[in-house]
Amino acid sequence: MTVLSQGLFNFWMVFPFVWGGIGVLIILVACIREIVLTLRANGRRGG
Amino acid sequence: MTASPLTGWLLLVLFGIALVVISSLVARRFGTQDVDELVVAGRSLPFGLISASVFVAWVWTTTLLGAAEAGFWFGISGGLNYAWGAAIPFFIFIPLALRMRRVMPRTTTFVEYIRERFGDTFAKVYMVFGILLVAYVCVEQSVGMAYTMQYSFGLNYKLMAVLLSLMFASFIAIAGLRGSVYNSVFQFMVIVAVVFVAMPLILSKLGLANIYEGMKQVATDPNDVNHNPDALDIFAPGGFRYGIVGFAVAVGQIILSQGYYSAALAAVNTRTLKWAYIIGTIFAWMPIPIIFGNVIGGGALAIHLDINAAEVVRTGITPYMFSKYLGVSGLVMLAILVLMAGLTTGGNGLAGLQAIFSVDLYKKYLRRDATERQQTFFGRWAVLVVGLLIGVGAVALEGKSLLNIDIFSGILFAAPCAPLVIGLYSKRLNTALSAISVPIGLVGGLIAYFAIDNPDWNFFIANVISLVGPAVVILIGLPFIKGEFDFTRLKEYTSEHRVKLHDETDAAPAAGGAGGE
Repeated sequence: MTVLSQGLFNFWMVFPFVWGGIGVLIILVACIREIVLTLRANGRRGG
Repeated sequence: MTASPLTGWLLLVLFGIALVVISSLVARRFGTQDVDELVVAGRSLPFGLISASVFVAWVWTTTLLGAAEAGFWFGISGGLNYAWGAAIPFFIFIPLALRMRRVMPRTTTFVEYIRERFGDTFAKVYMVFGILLVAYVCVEQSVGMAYTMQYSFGLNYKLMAVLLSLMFASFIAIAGLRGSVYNSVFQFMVIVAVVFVAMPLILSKLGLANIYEGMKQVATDPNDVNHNPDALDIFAPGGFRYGIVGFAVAVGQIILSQGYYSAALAAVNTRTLKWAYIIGTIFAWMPIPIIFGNVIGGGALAIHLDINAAEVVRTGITPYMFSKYLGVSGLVMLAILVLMAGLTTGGNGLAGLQAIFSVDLYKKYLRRDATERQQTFFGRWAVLVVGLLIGVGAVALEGKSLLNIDIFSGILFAAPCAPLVIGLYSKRLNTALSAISVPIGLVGGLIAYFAIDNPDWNFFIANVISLVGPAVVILIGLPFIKGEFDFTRLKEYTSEHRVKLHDETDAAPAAGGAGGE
């Protein structure tokens, strides 16, 4: 029977939030930038 | 504990309006009369939109509920094994999609590739596999969403199953893949907001030290109701085996799903495709099941949850934990999560099906002289009809266990993967050897499942045989095959609808590098 130490356990409980947070932030920034660019292009087309 | 039915209806109306409005705006801005625009968004989508779309398409209702249960059954290794088992198949798919764009730049569906590579009969078989896979995936999502609406808000299961299926079919019918992708961005934001608010809240209420002590007792005390000596072992063999089964099942679910090919072909260039899939899966998606396995599954172990208690049996582990720690607002948050997960996965599946219906079924087999307008018209209405059928299928499955369907779908969809993958790289692989390999894998998997008496091992071995068996048959048979397939045929393939390539490397003439082996 292997039992994870409290320190490693705490790390493994918290780390996925940091890991996921980084991935989500990259996508979020890219999406907002791309949508703004599309809307601007749309605005130019309309004008 | 349930939230008021009015809240459930309000959620449905709000999200329904949001999704249809986004789709309508996208359809008005970009138009959807061209086949290529409808089914692969004109092959011009940038990184962020593709990665958000891949992320939400792979967040199934089972990613949330199943990973939490894996955490409960396998302890600290459950979420991790769920995550790698479902994420690693993308490292087969990404090179596959890159290769497909290079050797057959003007393809739109994987069925077109199969037709050119292995012939028409084989293409028909793979088209049936592709349709069955989407039907299975979508029905599962509808069942998950309808159950959630029933136990969270007391709404009628049958009505919800039909309504929600029609909802994701309608936004695909309105604006095709591009509509699905823009909706994905909205759904991505909602999913992320709920996960990163609800899960830290539940974690803080449970307390890290309490979860650790509770799980330690589960691991060390034989009298604990959920005693599992591996509860705190991150490399537990049982959990690892679960990960391998997940891998075998997920390979088929990805490689035979046209939705992922459509998203890959919609990327403006190969660099965008590669990074969108890597960030969408490894960086953004993979932590989600780990968080659910750790916090919900681990938390349920830590409080020594009795899985046979009436309330837990009625709702399942995740809804029980959400309502216990976050009250009614927790149930509402979970319902939003499951709705978003189900709608996006169903939408992605139907976007792929729309491509197969428009490009393959209608133009190739039903009406050879169809114009693009007629193809898109057929694709739209066919998707709506399939949406209705999915709802009816979900109604028929009310109260029935999906476990057997999951087991057989894993065996069924793993078997056809090897010819599709190896055929993209090997000049020698021919139709005859491919046609022998698939039934061998399928029948071998089924025999293993029924012949092995141990329920812990039969599912595992059956899935592995179904996935690996055809690949082994092909690799053994390849040296004995005389002729070679000419890959320039794929490179020079021209689709029957207008295809505009934006990527210079895709459009490069067939010279040298396109061949296999």
